[in-house]
Amino acid sequence: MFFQCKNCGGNIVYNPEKQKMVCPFCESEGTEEKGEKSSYGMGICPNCHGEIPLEQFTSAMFCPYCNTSIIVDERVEGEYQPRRILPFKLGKEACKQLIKDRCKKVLFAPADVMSEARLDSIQGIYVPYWLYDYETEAYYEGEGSQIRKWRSGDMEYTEVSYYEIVRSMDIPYRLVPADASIKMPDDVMNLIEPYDYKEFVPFEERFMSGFNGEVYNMPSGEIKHRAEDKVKRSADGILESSYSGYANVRTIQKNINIHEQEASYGLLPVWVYDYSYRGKSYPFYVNGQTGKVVGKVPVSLSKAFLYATTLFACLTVIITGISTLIF
Amino acid sequence: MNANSKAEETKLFLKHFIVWLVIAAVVLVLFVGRLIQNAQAAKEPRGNNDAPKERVFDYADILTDIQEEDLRKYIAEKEARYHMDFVVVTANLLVEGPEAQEMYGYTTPYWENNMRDLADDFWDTNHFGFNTGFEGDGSLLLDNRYPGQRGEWLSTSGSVYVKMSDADVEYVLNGVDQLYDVDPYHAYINYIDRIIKKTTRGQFKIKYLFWGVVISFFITLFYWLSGKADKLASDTTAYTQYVEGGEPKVHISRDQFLRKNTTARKIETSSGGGRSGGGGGHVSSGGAHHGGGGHRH
Ligand SMILES: [Zn+2]
Ligand SMILES: [Zn+2]
Repeated sequence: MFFQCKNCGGNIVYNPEKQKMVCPFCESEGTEEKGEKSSYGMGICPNCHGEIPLEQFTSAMFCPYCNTSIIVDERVEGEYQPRRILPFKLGKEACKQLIKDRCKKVLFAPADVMSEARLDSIQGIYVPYWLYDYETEAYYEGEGSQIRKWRSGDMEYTEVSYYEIVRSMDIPYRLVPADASIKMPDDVMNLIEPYDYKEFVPFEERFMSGFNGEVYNMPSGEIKHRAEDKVKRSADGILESSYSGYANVRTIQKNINIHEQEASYGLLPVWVYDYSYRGKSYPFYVNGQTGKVVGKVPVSLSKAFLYATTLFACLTVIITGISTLIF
Repeated sequence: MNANSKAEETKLFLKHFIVWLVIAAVVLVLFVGRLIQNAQAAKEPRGNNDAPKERVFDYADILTDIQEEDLRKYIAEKEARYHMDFVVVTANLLVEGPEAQEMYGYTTPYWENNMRDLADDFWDTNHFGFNTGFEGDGSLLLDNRYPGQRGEWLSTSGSVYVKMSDADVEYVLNGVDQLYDVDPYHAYINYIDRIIKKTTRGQFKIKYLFWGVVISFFITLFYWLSGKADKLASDTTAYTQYVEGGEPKVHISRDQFLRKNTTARKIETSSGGGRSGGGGGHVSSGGAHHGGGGHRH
């Protein structure tokens, strides 16, 4: 299905900056109504009835013929309906600017990576996530030492005090994320975190209008180890920080028990800029809520060479010249 | 790459380097200007013909005949190149005490004053100086070998006087001191070389280019590496990010003192020392301005 503007009949989409539906044709706001459901089923555009190349996990996309933003009903309903969605908050233009800023920090980045024409290809994607809840028991036992030094006359004294450390705590975890998309690299998705969960809302199709989307690629059980790793690292960190005041610590016993409670399905917003340079791909991923950019900026060797040579020549002239003039 | 991004690259390049390019251009112009100026100055002929041709007055017979000849050649070469006179005088003169004052008519009985006056007067009465016979450019080294009153005095004049600070004078004297007893000939060569070193600013030297290249190379290397380094992103997720309420529910948090032990160590201390010296400007009996200083041995 797709969303139509009541005023002009155009394809109305969700606007991240205004946080509401805005018609790109007549600029009406909040005038959406659901367009008719395709009677031809999946794989056919409900607007122009052209055949669309639907991939296995696609839940939202643009029709390659009429550019209508299509939401695939069968993949957002029933068992595929997300419990919650975090709507895009960062608009396309703002996202382009963030990528530009990021590339400017890399001296030898080719100007092409920041060109308007290339940046225009960025796409907003709702990435499927499994979100896990855990109850955790963490226990620690160890011996910590503290060192005190002072001087008296020409003597220096060192006093080492030893303490018994015991910590026992329950740590409840809520909505620990693991992306359920094969396309999205896991390391990148870990870095694109965190999202501010306060802006999670119950799923509604309209938030997907104007964006791409995927349904979860695998059941929650298949990737829960990734969430559990995060929980273990977190519990470790919490324990460690609880005895960080000691100069030295010797661990006697440490236990972290994780109990899975529930996994729920949610969608999180990501902007993707698929840039390729000299046959190599340099994808950028931008958190659609916070604007955090994850990606490796390509380096132009010829540019690096030109810049380095110029700097070298300038410096040589300046140092030699000034030495001659001053000394 | 299309024309659009080429123009963009050029814009970025200029934005990045404009300040460097402007500074380099200014320095280059000044540098070339100085080289031309130097080349013209080097062509200027000697302006003073009142002084004797002799530069080495070995009254105390410190040098061998060959050394004297070599020193004359060395001085002639440096004078022609750097346009300042170098005069070396050795003597066996009583310069201290009332006896000396009576015998030679010194104004004071002091070693320093008398060495200074002797050196300055020798310069003035012989009308030394490359450009002119009064307050002309150059310097004179007076080496007195009289037993118990040994030491050297440096008298500077004209541009040499203007260019040399107290520390520079000290530097030249130290160069003489190094070889004063073991090799007087090279002590005098040191005097000449160190005067040149301290007065010929604004001369291009190959070592400047060498260090310019070396330093620039390392800065460029650092620049190259810093411009190429990029990582995906840093981890900004706090480890309590997904903890409900932001913190754990703590049941036990106990820190029980067990025992302590104390060790003692003696503190080592150390100390150091230093030295000082120098010489300044004054007007000689002939009314000419001189600078310089001396070291007594
Ligand atoms: Zn409309
Ligand atoms: Zn269509």
